[in-house]
Amino acid sequence: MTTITNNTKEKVIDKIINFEESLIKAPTGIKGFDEITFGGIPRNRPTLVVGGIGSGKTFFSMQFILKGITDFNEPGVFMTFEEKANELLTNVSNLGYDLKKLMVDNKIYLEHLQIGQYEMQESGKYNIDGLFVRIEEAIKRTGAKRIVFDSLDSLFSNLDTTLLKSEFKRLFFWLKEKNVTAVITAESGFTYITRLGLEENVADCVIELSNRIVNQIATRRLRILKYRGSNHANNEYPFIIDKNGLFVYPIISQSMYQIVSSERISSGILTLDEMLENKGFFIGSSILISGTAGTGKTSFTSTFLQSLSNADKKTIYCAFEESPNQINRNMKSIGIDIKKINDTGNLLFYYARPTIQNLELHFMAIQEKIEKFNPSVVILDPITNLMTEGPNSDVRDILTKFIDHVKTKKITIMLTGAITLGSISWVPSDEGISSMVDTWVMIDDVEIEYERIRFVYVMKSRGMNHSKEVRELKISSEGISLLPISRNEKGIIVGSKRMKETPLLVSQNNSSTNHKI
Amino acid sequence: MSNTYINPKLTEIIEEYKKEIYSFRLFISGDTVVSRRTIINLNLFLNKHLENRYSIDIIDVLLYPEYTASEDIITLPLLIKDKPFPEARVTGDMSNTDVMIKEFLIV
Repeated sequence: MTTITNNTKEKVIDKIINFEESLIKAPTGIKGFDEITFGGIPRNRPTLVVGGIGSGKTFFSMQFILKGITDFNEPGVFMTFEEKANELLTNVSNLGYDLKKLMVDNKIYLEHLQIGQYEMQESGKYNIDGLFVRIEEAIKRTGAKRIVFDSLDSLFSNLDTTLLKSEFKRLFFWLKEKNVTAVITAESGFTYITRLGLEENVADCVIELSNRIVNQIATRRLRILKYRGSNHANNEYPFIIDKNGLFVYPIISQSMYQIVSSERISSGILTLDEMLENKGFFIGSSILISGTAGTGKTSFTSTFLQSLSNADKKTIYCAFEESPNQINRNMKSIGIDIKKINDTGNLLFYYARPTIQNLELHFMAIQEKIEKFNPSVVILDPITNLMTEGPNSDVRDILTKFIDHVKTKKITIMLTGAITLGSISWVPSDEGISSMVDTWVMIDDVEIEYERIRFVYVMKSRGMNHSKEVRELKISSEGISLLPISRNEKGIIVGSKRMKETPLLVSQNNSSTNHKI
Repeated sequence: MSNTYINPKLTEIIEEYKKEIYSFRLFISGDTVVSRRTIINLNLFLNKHLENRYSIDIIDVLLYPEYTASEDIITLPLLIKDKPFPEARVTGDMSNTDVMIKEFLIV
């Protein structure tokens, strides 16, 4: 007798051990989401998606099903309590999936459970076996591994809540045995997370979707409220819904995976390269060109762009202030034909007003372009324009994460901004940005004897012995050059004085001497 | 209150209705204690109130699952009154006769 009991005990323990080991995750296939959950939602368990009206619950769950079919070969069942099956089809057909074919191939099964069509009275105890039968039929038909219930609120509105809660507990236990991963959607409530307090009973994982408006700009956000038995990222992440589906922007710093390169890339300006050990910037570094309005920041970026195009390197130019046409016109004055560069196919413009959408969404859009275009350089001109969005501390955070992300791809990033030594003292985000970049080229505008002279110097350049000299910026129809400053007994020779003393001094040859004021 | 105020046509309709044959469908899931209890309860009710005036089909959805979709069934047991018009639905083990009287007999 004792041996038998011991055996059964061991069996029970074995069962428990095996169960503990088997927290497997089901990848959703939603870009970014699987990263913040470290692999997806819990497999064979229910996940609850909560959110207000129009927060994207149905879309999220539909993506889960569709991606399951296309990416992981897992058929799915979509049980809708709200939309009719054909309405749902219309909504999803915009995404570019051939749903009809998927349905004919029995990869997906849509069922509309009409609640409230009949007024129903209750006489004694009942259960939801009818739903069980329907689900079983649907799973049999498709061999489904994934199932969605959208949304439970309409079901619960007609029936006794306490009874349904326990019935759903039974349902999810049953689904677990059938090896089906479930996603349930529900409206968010005030006292509980959901209106019905479902989260206490059913879900092993709770995801909250919201659509909030800050500074008149609406942004969709996603947060993981609970994930039993797994660690997950805790923050709120912005996401977008567009014709390509749903995309979460994972702001996770991946800096430890950064590939550090010692290769160099020319700035396109010989005289600036001279100041950077005669070699230029590091590939994969971040460069800030700063100066007040009208100091020629866009001229710097355009010159950089030109030299990149000459070397047959791809660039994404993000213009937040001027339109591409305007940049094209303006840069002709310094001998750069942006249109010509554009025609070579080495240039992709991202032009958007900063106020159209939230900053994160801008970066998501840029990130998508980066993935498609695969550039070696990204130029953001200017970033200070973006900072009108939201509180400044936010901008710095987002920008840091974006730069980190770009760097992991070994892409050089050039920023321009109206950051001056003066502005740093009263705008905290300016200091943040200037401290996070690797190379900082500063353009200073100084009035000397009724003439505004632009001086250029390298404030910092990590990992190189950069020149500490101050040079004069000369922008002409031939482009940009940085002229060393010479002195005579009267003082420094800059601006129009230079014209008298040494007509158009060319600096390439005497670069070895570092002039100092 | 005298009957003079009632439209004679209406009383005719009510009299007609009282003679009407009822037709029901009862959906159950498997041969379970609940299913049996439901059938017994329903039998008692029908024989008491509608003796010889009803027909009933009992359908097990485990054997005929296609009914669940076509009749939009979620809760079980479910009793559907098809005739006389209008259709009415009551779910449960049919233990609450008050609800059923209201739903089926009083029009």
